[in-house]
Amino acid sequence: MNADEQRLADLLKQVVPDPPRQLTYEEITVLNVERTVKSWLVPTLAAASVLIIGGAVGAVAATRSGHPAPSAPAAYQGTSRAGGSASPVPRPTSPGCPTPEPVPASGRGASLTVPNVTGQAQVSAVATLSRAGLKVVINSRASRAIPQGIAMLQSPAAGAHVAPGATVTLTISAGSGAAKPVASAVPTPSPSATCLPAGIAPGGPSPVPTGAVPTPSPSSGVPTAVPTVAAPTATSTPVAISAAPSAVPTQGKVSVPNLVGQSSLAATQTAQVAGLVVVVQSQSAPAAQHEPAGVVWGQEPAAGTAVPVGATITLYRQP
Amino acid sequence: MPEPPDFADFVRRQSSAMLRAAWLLTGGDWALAEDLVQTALGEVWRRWDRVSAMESAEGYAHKVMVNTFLRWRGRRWTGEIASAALPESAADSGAFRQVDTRESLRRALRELTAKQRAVIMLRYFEDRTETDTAQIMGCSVGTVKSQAAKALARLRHVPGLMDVLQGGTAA
Repeated sequence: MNADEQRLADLLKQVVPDPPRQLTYEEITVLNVERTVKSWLVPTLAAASVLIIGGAVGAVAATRSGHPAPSAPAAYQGTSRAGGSASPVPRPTSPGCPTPEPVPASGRGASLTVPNVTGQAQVSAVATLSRAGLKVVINSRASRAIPQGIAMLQSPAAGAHVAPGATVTLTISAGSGAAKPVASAVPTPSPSATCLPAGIAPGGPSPVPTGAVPTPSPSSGVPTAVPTVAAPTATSTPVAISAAPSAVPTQGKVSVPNLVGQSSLAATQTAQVAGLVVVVQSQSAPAAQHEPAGVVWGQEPAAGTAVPVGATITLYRQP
Repeated sequence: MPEPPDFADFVRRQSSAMLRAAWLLTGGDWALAEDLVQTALGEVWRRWDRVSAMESAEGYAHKVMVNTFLRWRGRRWTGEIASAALPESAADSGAFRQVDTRESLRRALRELTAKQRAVIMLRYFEDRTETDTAQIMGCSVGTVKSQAAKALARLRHVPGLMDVLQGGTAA
């Protein structure tokens, strides 16, 4: 190094300031929530559509052989490749997945309007904000009035103008206190913190690698997964019948969790992890209830009911 | 699939150093610097099972950051950065002079190309060798040398910084 280079090196070390704040683990992982959820969503939806279409085709006419949804084989192909990689959370395989820098190309100087996400389930709220090019930080707070998993507050408020990439803080209801607190979904940055991505409720969609059958969350502690296919028991045609991939304990009863207010996917997974078989019905909520599309507005049996493991729970989803 | 438990720890240990490096890369913009580090660490997180087994996970993270920065340069941070009125200069106390120098450095960095900033950061802030720098940036040692020389030549002509470089008056 010559003298100038040495001076520059000294100068840089003196002048580069200390960062105003540190990044936290949650901020990094929350960026990945949407892609994680999506990568989980694709095979699940594909599986659901294959089940439905397969059933319909079989019932209507056996002569018309295999007429699968065009998206389904592609999804399987893509996901099995991704599933083979060693990456814990694979890259998105769907063209619809977000890029890691969702900020519009107009870049700095442009400002955008914060969308209203209060009342939405956590997963969809996070997805909406990330798509808008905003970062999300999740807090949680107990609430009697707001169902667990629903965004009850946001800061800055909807309609505020912010720079692309600004951070929106969401307060997610943790339920009435008796319920499982969502707070545990946001790991505190301690060495012992579990590596659950922030923004994913413990019972919610876990970061299942694409291509893998969603397995029960590690916390369920049940070693073997017994995939079973739910038989449609409802009178009307079920919209989606999910294979219950959760390990079904051979005996015992479970208390039906409260799934109202969650996205139907999150609710399905929660119920499956609890050892229940899920039937989702797409049905409009009573006029008095204003639920966003895709959110579960009713369930049968009601939360708190003790049912045998493997019992069927019907979720009513706002179309 | 349980993840290695130490990613949170890694973030805590690396975020400060990476943020300072990113501050240099982005021409002294903390918001962009945070974006950059966040994106780079997000990449690392997605491959954490492999990265954590590496000899230098830290080096890998830096490499991802520099490459992310160079890849994005056309899109996000080469535009001229409007800044508010600069602080009054000609202050006597050391603290003020350091702020002045920092402002000069910011302006100077914004005159450089992204590649030059990357070389300056790796060579003179992180004190990496030319070979290391070339390896991280994925270019030849010759390119590192020529970019460093060009960057230095430009920095010498930046008012406020030149005095520091020649007179060593940094606080």
